[in-house]
Amino acid sequence: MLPMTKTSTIQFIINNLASKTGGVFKSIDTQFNFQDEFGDVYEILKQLDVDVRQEVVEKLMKFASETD
Amino acid sequence: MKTLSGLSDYELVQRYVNCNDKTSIEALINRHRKKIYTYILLVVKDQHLAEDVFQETFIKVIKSLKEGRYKDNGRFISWVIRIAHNLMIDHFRKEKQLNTISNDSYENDLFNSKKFADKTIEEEIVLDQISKDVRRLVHELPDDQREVVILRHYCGMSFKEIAEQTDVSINTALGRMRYALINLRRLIKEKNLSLSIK
Repeated sequence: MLPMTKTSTIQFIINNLASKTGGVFKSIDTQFNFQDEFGDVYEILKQLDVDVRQEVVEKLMKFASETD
Repeated sequence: MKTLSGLSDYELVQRYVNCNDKTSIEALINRHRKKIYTYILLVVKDQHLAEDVFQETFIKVIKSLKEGRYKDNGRFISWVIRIAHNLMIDHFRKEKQLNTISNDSYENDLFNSKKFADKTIEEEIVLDQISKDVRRLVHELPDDQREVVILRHYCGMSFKEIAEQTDVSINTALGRMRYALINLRRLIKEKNLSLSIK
């Protein structure tokens, strides 16, 4: 058997993990997003909807246009 | 030709830095304003202070871009959040030195929610109350858990980015998120919160 390079070792680990997760390798963010388990909590968190006042953004635009 | 909204953050940065295209920085600010502002507001708990920090953050962003101090070795939003984070630390340090107490002005931003467009006054008041309740809820979390929830849920950062930002391992960031969600569920139950317009 040929020695494995770093890349092929990583690929081997990924494939191995993929086979253990039903053939589809999931990224950490997908695997641990808790959407299903904590859907009720996310529903509450989603209720927060704030935005900065437009005046503040306009001041920044003015600053940007004066900066060269 | 792509419209500005179709350009990536990196392309917008390049257009602003190399071509001095002001519409690009405007597009970047508008793209990320809600995430950055929510992050700041949830940390400082004060609308006026949050606006000041937001402004200072983007002034620093604009200056750094112009001076060529931005290296694209991560996502633009992570960089902006880091700047905001450092500014807030500076603020709290100064506040501690002066020994002043922050005046929580959550009550002042009744009309600061985007949801308020096209709503009746009654609905606006209910939505404002919901928004405040959610913020109070998030604020009851321990600092480390709160930070992960804000960065993950409201800023859309990956756990890898959160781990880098908060200087912990990915596993720690994941654990904190899990504990935060469990704690939030407990708090919702304890307070019997029902956050929706009936």
